[in-house]
Amino acid sequence: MSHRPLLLPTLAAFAIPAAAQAPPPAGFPGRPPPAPPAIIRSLTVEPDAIEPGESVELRWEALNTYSLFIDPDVGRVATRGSYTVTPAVTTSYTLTATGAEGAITQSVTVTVAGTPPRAPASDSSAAAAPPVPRLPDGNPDLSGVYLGGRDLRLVGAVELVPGAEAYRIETVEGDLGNGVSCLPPGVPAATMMPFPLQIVHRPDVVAIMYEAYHLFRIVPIGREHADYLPPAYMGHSMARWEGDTLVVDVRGFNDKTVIAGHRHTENLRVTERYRRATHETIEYEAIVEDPDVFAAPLRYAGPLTLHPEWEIGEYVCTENDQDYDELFENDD
Amino acid sequence: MMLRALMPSSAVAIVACLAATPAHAHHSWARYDGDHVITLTGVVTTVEWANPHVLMTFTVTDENAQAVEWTMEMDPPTLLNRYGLRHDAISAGMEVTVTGVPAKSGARMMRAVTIELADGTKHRVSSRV
Repeated sequence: MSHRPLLLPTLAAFAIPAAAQAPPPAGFPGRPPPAPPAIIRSLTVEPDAIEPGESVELRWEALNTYSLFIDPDVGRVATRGSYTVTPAVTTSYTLTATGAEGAITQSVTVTVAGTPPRAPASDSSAAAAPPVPRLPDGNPDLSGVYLGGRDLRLVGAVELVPGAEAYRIETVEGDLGNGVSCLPPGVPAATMMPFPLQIVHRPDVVAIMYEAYHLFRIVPIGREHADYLPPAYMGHSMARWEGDTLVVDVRGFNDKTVIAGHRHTENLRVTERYRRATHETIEYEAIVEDPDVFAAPLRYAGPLTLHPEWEIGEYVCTENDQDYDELFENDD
Repeated sequence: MMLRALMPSSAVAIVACLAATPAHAHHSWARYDGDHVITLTGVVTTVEWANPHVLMTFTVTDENAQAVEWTMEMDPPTLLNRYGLRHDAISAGMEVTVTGVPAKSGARMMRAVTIELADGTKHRVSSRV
């Protein structure tokens, strides 16, 4: 096997796969300043020349990306990492980094002795999209790491029942109630934070693990709520299938979270719907009801986008939860 | 080392009002003036790479040629890692240029969206840009 030095990346024209596109974030409270552009710091392959059947290691590092994609054979990747591939023929691997100023690319080529260059794939990213995975019982498998975040929005207006104005609290768009004090923000707010969540799904139960605050929810499927539900920040969840949609009935909340700038009572009830519309996306909806506060149900909706390149990280909110009041005091 | 404070004139007239937010409201943007983006260059004095938000202090020379200390907060460590910023990328003694929004109170406190390191590399440090 040949062991030549690492091949320097080369710029290459490249048709960006649909999966590599990512919208810019939202939620800046004023006119946002320019975001720094995506940067590809490195893309290497070692070795860059092999015999048929041998493998090579791709390594890369990028900054400031909204999405990062290696084509062919690899897919979405994290901001830095490595990946072993065994190309059957001479192949060019292209890293596409999409950031605030659009997409940039770099490529490396692996020469497989005695083989012609791999023919470029036609633009068939949509046709090549994998199907929605299924559990052994035939239902859709929701498993994966997803980000909802600011893609989830309140749809429509908030209407209060007469006399419920006292439940209104001072809040600011983008703030999420108890989250500012390291307490669980509730449902659906935990899904609306800019942190990913991981769903682990088996036929009888769904586990939802939130990076935010290290929260988790255990959601049995096909069972009934207990008669007594001790009040909880994240409530108590039970699920059932309606066709290909997993419907989660959440009740048994305490009255300490915030919904759309309002406190609520322990009669709060949330009905979530998860439908894996594509391999890459769950359509999410949360209907929020509290007849003591809201005159009509509130509806939150938006996509949960699959991020197989991410892992849920450690988020210990109380680590440095100091009193920020001092930092905001004007001493001049 | 010559330090400079690059503050657009619009950033000087910071609205001095306190938002109605609770103590410990570390996640809240309500205390920042999102309409006034400022850029400051200075030397890092401390970095607390910790949850809920990474905090950094740095010394800046103000318009009166006085050395003053600013504090800035960034996103949590997990998000910074996903943007590509490592925990060991910033350390005391480094010259940095920070862009962000200042506290409404007029305190030398800011919420950063970009930090430029001495090698010229600009890093995203906020999920909102």
